[in-house]
Amino acid sequence: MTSQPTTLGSAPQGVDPSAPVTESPTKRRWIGLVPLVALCVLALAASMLVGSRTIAVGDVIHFLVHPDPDDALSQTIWFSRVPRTVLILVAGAALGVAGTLMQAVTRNPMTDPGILGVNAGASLAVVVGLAFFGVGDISQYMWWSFAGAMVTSVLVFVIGNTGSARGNPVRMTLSGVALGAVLSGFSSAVLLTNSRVLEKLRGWSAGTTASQPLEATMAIVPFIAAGLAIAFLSARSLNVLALGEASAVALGAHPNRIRTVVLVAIALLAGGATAAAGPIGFLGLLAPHLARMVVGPHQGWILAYSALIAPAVMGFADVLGRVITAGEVPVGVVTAFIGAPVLIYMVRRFRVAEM
Amino acid sequence: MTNLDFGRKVYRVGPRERPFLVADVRSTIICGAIWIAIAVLAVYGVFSGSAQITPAEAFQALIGRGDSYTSMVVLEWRAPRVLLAVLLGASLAISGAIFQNLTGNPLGSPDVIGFQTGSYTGALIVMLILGGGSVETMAGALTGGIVTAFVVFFLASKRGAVRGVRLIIVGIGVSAMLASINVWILLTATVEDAIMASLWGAGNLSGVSWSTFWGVFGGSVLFLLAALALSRPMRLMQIGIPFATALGQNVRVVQIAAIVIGIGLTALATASVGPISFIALAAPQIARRVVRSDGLALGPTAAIGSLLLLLADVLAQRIYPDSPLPVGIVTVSIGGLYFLWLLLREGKKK
Repeated sequence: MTSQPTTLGSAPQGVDPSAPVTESPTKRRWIGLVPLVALCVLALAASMLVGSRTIAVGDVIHFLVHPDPDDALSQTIWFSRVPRTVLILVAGAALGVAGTLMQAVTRNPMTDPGILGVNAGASLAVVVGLAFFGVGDISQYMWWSFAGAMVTSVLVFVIGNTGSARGNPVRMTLSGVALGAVLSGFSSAVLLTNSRVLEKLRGWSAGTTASQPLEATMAIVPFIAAGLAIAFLSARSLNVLALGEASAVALGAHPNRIRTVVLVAIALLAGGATAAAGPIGFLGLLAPHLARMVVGPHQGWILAYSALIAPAVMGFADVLGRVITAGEVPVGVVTAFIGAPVLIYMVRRFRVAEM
Repeated sequence: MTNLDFGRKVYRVGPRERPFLVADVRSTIICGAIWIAIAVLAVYGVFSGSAQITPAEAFQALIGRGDSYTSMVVLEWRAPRVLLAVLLGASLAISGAIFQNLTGNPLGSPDVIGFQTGSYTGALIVMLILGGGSVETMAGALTGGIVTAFVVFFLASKRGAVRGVRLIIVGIGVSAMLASINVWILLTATVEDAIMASLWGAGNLSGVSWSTFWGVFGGSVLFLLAALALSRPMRLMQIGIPFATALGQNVRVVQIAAIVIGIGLTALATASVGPISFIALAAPQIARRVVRSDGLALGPTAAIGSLLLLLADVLAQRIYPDSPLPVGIVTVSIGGLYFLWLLLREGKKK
């Protein structure tokens, strides 16, 4: 898409001897991080301050430092704003990075865990766990979510990658969409015959930051941290994979090994985020594209930028959802409204390979 | 008519130089077999069910000699439901075939271009926000579906052309937005209302009566005949729009007529029983493969659509006898799994 062979070859270590002109891309990328971090902090701060009642900055800082169990404001901050903000940071980064990994490993720009049905798989697993196996607590059902995400991503991958049309982005997107439809069909079959689970999962199934206590978010943090670590460690392999299967093999890489490792990371990230916040779509689509516009085709940098862009977008989306109506619009609805037009714009703008 | 028929056996009816009916042997035999299967399944659907009625009693009711309870169950509940499943299955399948022909893509079906999601949004707005009854819900569903379909077509068209993958991806995007609106509307309702609305939204054949059936019947038959009339020009368009134009076809008119018929067929089905997905997507593709046709095969498509929907409905009523599932959930599962298998198999073959 935006691939420029010249930047693709630039050294990942920070020194670029072949580019004596002006400043190096790496320097530019480091500088770009500054406003991005600021933006992310701003989004998280907004999430702390804005809501059904706006809390003053001074109060937030005061009660964050000195929690006061008797004060209503302190309770609001600690039991509503803090869990939501942490969840935005954690789930946002996870989804952004999962989307980047997915786009890199499938070499398909129109992909994210939502479009490929991974979120639907994770949701179905959670629904099944709740309905038939008496799972109640997030520390239990996150395992279901991981398993669901893992199975679905492997399935989509296998279906999209068999035979001669392997790696055809459109084919993979389609198999993901079909799989997602089937899995959500199963979920609604369970939910419609089981009003207890429907009641419990109604809010969650839209993708929301409002339903989880802080402990629940903390339970998924280790897994998401592991996923992020795997992601960043695979950045160089993904750069090699981006050159194409043949070139990657010629350079001594093992594409299938890379894909397996990355699929584990995707399952951890998407499964973890879905367990805590429900299926949130399009964040993973949006973030890598924005990142790629700034940093060019360098997976490590795209990952880093996505990990910051996604929480920022999710934070602003969540805040927007809180204030836009008298009730609250779940963040998953808002991100769909931000992300889907991007997908449509992309498909109008770029030449899409026919099936 | 030359003998260049790709080596396929055909039956010809009429004068040798200009036969007025050329029927493919394989296609005819298969259609016959499918219709026999539909008949068997329909009889099974009418003769069995959750109500305790023996086949003998059901038969008595069918020939007009049953008691009032049996007659009501068999004649008023089961019979229209089975017939409506057959009719709507055919309608949806033909609608899918038309859209796949128009977009030149096996995936261009009304559910993919967002019609069904849009009609659900329309219906939800009427049911849960405006508080309308069943007639208003129908109107809302139609409006929602048609508006969505046009928005998707508009967004996907570039210099007047809407062929190809762009349409599908735009459809996925617009559907995703609408689906999230649907989830949100459902969230703001009470649990009971949400379940009621979700049952509609999943596509439900339960509770259909003769009045529903006759209401749909007229429109469906009209559109199906129109589709039949359009099948020749559409087959021509399949070769390519430039060719069709060069051969003197008014491509624009054919396209518009096809869109109207395609949307009309889906709209009828959606308005009467809610969005039923995947029949439109899967039936034309199954038909093509079963009769080994190179493209549009309306007869087999309609037969397979009917069979699929009837089978799905019979299954949906019997998976959990205590709380029957909406048929749409079964079609999405069967159709989706079939579709995945198709993608897998096509990948392996080449």
